[in-house]
Amino acid sequence: MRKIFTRFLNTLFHPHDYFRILGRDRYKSLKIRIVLLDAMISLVPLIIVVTISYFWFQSILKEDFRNQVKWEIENTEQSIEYFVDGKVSALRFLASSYSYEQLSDQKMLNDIFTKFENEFSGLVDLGLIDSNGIQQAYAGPYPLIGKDYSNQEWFNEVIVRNVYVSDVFMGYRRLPHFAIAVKKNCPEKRSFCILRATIDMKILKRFASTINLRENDDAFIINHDGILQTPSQFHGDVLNKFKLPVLIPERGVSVLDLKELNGGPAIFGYVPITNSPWILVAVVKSTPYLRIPKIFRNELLLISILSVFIGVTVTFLMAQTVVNRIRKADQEIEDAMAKTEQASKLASIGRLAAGVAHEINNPLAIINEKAGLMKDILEMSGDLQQNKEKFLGLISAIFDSVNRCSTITHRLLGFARRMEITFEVIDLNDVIKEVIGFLEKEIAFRNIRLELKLKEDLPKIESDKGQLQQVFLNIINNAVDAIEEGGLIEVSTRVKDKNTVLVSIRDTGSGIPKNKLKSIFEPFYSTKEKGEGTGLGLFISYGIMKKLGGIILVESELNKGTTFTVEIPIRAGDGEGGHV
Amino acid sequence: MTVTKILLVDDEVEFVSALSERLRLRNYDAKAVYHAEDAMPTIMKDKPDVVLLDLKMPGIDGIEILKAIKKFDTTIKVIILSGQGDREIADEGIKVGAFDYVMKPVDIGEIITKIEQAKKSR
Amino acid sequence: MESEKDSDLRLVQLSLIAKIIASFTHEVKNHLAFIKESAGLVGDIMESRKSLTKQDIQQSLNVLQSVKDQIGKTSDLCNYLNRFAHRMDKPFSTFGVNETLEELLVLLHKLSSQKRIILERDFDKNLPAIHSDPAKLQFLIFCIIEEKLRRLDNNSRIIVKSAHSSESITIEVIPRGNSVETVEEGICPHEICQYLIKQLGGSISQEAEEIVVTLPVAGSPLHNVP
Repeated sequence: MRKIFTRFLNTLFHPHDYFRILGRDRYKSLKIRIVLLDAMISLVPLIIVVTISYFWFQSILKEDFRNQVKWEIENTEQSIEYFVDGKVSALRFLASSYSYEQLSDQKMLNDIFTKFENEFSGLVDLGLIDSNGIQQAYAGPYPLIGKDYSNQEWFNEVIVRNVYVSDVFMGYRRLPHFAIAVKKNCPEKRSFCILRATIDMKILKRFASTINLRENDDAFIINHDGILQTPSQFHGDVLNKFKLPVLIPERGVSVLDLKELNGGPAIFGYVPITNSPWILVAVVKSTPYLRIPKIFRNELLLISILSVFIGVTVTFLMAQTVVNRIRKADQEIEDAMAKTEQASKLASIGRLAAGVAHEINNPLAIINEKAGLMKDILEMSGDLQQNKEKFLGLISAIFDSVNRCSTITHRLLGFARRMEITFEVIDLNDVIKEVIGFLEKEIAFRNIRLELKLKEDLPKIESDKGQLQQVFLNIINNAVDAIEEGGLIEVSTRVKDKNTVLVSIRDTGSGIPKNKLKSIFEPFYSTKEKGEGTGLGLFISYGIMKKLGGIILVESELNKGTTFTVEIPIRAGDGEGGHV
Repeated sequence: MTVTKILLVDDEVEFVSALSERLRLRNYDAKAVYHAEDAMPTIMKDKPDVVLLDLKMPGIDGIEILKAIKKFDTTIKVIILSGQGDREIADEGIKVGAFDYVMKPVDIGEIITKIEQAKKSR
Repeated sequence: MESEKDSDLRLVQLSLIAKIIASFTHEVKNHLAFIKESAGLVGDIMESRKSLTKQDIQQSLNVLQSVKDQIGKTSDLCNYLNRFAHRMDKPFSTFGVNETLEELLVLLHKLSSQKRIILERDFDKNLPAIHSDPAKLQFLIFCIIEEKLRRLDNNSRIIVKSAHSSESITIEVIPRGNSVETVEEGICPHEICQYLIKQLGGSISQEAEEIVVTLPVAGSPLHNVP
């Protein structure tokens, strides 16, 4: 796993190594590298931001939704509370407005009931119960006169509390009701009575329904024991038990996220309704807040894809431009190198030709004078005896001069031949020996020891003799200059592998400091005095070797010496440039 | 008729020795020096009428020698021995005071003519 | 694009120079050989005789004279080479076209004599000097002549003629002889010739086998500085 990762990083940062097989297409690899890196740099934060935004947005929406649920529950609770309070107040008003006599009067009670019914939504019946728990008067649909409530819990509760709101119960005809009872003090009887109204549960249900419910949602009212006061959609009908997943606090709205409620996650909101035995519950399973993100997500995805696409395209185009520029610049350098090389060749051959034409004049002049002298002597005195030796001497001098002319022109011819780039099969050792021949005098003059370690049976190579000689000449010349006096130059040849041979030129000269090593192949780099050397030697040599499919390598240590290694392909083929 | 004294200054020994011999055969008092440093001392000692001077000797500026000769004695006529490609230097020599020049390889007739002209102009 | 052409041009120029130098050295070698033989001959005479007869003296004198003549020729040849080599020094100078043509023809003598083709000159004596690139011009004419040399049968002639009008000078290369088919590649590809003439600011035209190069005289509006 690690290996793959390392490989990936390597490809990303050094695709050159992996693309080397493609040879000259380092530009392609550079392009790919730029695009990849750029894409990564721009995509990764984009993805991070988008992902974070998405989830953040979603949680905001969810929070919002929960708040909405909470608000609705609160509102509904308030409504129910006010409703209950309202009904309690109304009942209290009734109780205080009428005397016991009036209320216990059946006819009066009926009358009150009828009037009340219109205003009092959901009123089912109204009853007056005396202090013993006996219903003295009753207005309503059920036969409840004389019913004894003394044992019922609510009766005892209302005596203590003065007001009582009951849980929903199954009344006659099996319809769910709840009752509100208020205690009325009857001072004339030195006792109290209870006015009780029964209200249809449907009212409550209506309230519960005002909570904005969606398909999977459920809102209902329960009592503290979990008994449903209103019918619920998913959790059972009235008076069924609803399993409370949590403890309900005495007051305040709570909205919880439950992982599991009736087969899945839900928002569970609840609030105890003040002044009543009830709790309003909402179980929200719907997730409208997810729908919005879905739309958002689609848009986001579209924008992301679009921007990624645009980004990659732009990056690619830019990479293309940049790499093309680089390629162009590289090409220009190569061209400049070629130009310089050719210009220098052109210049040097021009110089040489002019030089030859000039040099030849002297031996020609000599021949001329010698021949002229002979003529003079012959004309003046044809005496052979006297002048024989002289004549022969003059003739000999003429021969010498002719030879001199030959050498001069021969050198010119050799140089001219080498001007053309010709590949031929050559013996590298011979080539080197020839070059050494040019420099022998200089080397001896400076007292430099020369060691040749030329491998026997070195395979013959296919290359350009003239150009190779130029390279070796340049390097060995540099070696000679580096040494100045005394010291050693060692030239060796050997086989590197089945495709390459090596020529090493080692000197014990002043060496090149490590920080300068990289620059030595640059044009116009020279450590020589101004006016000496053009600084182009190694630059041109580098170019030559590159064209011939080889390499120039250099190692050096200050004051110890320098070793140049020239790698030459045995067959003319492609290769790489010079490096350190 | 005085014999014309000629000094040849040229580092190409074979050439200048042959030429001076040929001049001697034609009754000139011709002498050769092969090193530039010997030029002035010899001139001062021998006081030649005409000097045949090669301007392109290694290590020394022929023009400087020419100037020195002229400075020493303006009556000495200098004829420049010029290589084929050295027209410019020859022209410069003329400007500095040389009498004339001949191109190598020299034509003996031409040299004699110019020596006579130089002598006449003294 | 331009630099590519330039470098191609340079390569071909180097080939040209190599050829000219080869021709030159060949010729010089011949001269030198002659001199050597001649000197040898005189030496033999000197060595073998006890004393010289009048004939011997005469013969020796003749030989020696021919040696001197040969020296003259060799020296001239070197002059031409020298001048030719120096043409490359300045890409721009004022020069006489006839002189450059003469140099070229002298230096090509050996090359043409291999096929016994004679190079003739018909130069306009009043040809004005022009301001241009002499090396390039020589190169162009060389290319044209070289092509003719390849295409002509042995024992033919090539006439190089110069003429002028008020605004331009013309150089005509007129082959006279039978053509031969040749597969041999010329030194100079056609594009290079076109490139050259463009650089020289002139034009080239062909009528039958005759080629005419027209160049503007210095100062004429045709002249454009690259």
